[in-house]
Amino acid sequence: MAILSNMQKDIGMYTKFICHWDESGADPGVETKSKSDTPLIGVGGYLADADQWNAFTAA
Amino acid sequence: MVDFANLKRPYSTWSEPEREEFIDALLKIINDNTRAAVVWVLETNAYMEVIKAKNLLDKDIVRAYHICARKCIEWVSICAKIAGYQDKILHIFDQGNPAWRTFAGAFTPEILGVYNIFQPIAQSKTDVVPLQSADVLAHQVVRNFALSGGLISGNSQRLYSYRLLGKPGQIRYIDLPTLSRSTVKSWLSNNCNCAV
Repeated sequence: MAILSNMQKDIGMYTKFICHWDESGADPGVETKSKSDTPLIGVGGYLADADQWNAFTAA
Repeated sequence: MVDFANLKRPYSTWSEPEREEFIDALLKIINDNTRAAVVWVLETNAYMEVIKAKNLLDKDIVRAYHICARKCIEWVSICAKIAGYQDKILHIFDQGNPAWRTFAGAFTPEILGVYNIFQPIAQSKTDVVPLQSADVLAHQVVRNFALSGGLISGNSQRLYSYRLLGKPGQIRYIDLPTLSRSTVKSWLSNNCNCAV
């Protein structure tokens, strides 16, 4: 996590708040291997300002 | 997080103290650097019964992923509006979801304006490291719901979700009755360029 990507810094120049999202579980109807065996699908993530995300990346 | 929780390589070779130290550090970083946590979870059976079964012949129906992801964005936009925040917010999703193209394509300029957001983008966890925090949160909350609801059998995997939810935010679970309500179906038909 020590690498602070240039892209992340660039994004931070244009917007103060950024949300990062990822999914977990199987999406029914999409014919690819699911990431999970649970009969649920979820999308979740965090809201933080760009500086906080930069601190996250640098930590 | 899936590899970590299932003790796959490289984590399989770590000792228990090493794994605890790693997860402690990761959770502390997340809690120190984020403002709000949001998760929307949908029962796949509810999706199949309410959405898929009624649109068997349609190829471009709304995906379960669309519903959850859209509700996450919507919640943030509502909060921003209530708080009087006027700048656009950027939403970055983990890349690779098969439903991404149709999800991203549904954001017309009008919808972007209503939510006051930039066009959502998808990136890799390698390039955008904070996506790893979302990975941890989504995996743990879904697993927690599945275990507590008896949808999967319990095992020795440790859950950290209680430590991930120390932030304000919203954790919502969409079951069959919820998805069946007209308000949800109305939301789908009004906001997605999909046949619902």
